[in-house]
Amino acid sequence: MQVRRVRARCAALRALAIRDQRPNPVSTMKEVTRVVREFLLLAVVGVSVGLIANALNPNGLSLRRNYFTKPVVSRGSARPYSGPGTNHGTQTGPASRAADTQMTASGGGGETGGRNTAKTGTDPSEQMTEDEMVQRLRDLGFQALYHHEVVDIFSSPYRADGLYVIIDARTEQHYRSGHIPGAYHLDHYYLDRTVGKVLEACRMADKIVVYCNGGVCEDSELAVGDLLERGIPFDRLYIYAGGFTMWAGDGMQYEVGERNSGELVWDVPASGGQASEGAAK
Amino acid sequence: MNSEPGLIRRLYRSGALMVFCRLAIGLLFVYMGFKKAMDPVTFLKLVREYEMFPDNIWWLLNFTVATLPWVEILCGLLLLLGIAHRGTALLVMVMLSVFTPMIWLRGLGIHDAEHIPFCRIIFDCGCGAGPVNFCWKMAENIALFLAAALILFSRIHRFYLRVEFVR
Repeated sequence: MQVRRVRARCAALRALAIRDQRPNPVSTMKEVTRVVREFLLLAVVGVSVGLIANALNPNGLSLRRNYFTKPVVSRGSARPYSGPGTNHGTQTGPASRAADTQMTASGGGGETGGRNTAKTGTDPSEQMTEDEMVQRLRDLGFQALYHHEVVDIFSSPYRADGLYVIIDARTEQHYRSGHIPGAYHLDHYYLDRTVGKVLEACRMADKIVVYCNGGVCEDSELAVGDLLERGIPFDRLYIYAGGFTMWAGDGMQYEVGERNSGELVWDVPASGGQASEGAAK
Repeated sequence: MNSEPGLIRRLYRSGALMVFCRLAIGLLFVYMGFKKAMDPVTFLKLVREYEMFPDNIWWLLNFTVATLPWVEILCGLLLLLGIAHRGTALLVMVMLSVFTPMIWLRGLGIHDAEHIPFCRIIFDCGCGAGPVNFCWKMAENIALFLAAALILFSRIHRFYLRVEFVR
């Protein structure tokens, strides 16, 4: 009798516990409303924190600037490169005349045909031949250069005189990890940090070569737009189509750290397809 | 009859599973968020590749890129500390349910264009970890979504600083 009573009490308690665990529609609705309110509050707080942090971050973005405004260039104005020093039909300065003479003597780089058909780019969507890269830029209205033409410009004595200027339009991190020796740095996204020195050099120059990583990277196009906006004539501005990927990939020396740091390195393509690294001071 | 609960159930009841989910999402979101917040230009370029916004509303792209990493960091910190975990889990689920289809579409685009098998596609999705394997990324996002759902729907509240943010 006693045992039966205890069992009945246990069963009643179990039933009570099960009833308590059942979701109550009213409390569930309240809980859903509470979670949704919490979610909305967090979203607002998160966005506010984001805006404040972005304003305080030295690398923060400007919310008022369209970073991807492409320069307005006339499609007819782009023309094939005709060798260092011979690009300005109207140029009459001593520098250009000297350059003409020099390149005539060396027979330099007038051809625009595709010499290099090597594929570049690490992204599968960016596998392009050099011809395709040059053509793409010319279709956009820019003056594009092949790798061998940039090598000619790089080797020219007029580069040392400041008549030819090479500009790296990649990020500071990329620039510091390796750039064409003597190249200036122009960061389109943080223009105020770099544009001063670059403009000074560009005003003196006859020919300005801008590069980024090559392929479909837009930073060189955007940098050309920045220079055009600041009064540098279009006919002096060229884009190196293959960019730094092609420069380093061809085993050319590059400089690490600051401009003119003197720390030169180069990737030596090994037979197994891997690159080893050399260094020179 | 053996009435001992299974390992997963014991972990769930003890709150250890929830703590693991919170730690996994929290640490990942804080790390990824910081990486994006410290290099907003790279993030801007990568987000632009998704073509989420038309060119004429560029300000929305800037706004998204400027704020999103910090929302992620906030979510990560709140989950680690156990504050407002349900609202945070819902926010994480909403973000993942926007990002994951976008990454899927991007992978599909690369697959169609380059004829590369899905699990051999490696690209930078802008998630903060650099180039990643497409299949791994999808699996990671689904796992994170399920973990966030577990946090949202669980009735086990242990090892939390404060359960509710809004009353």
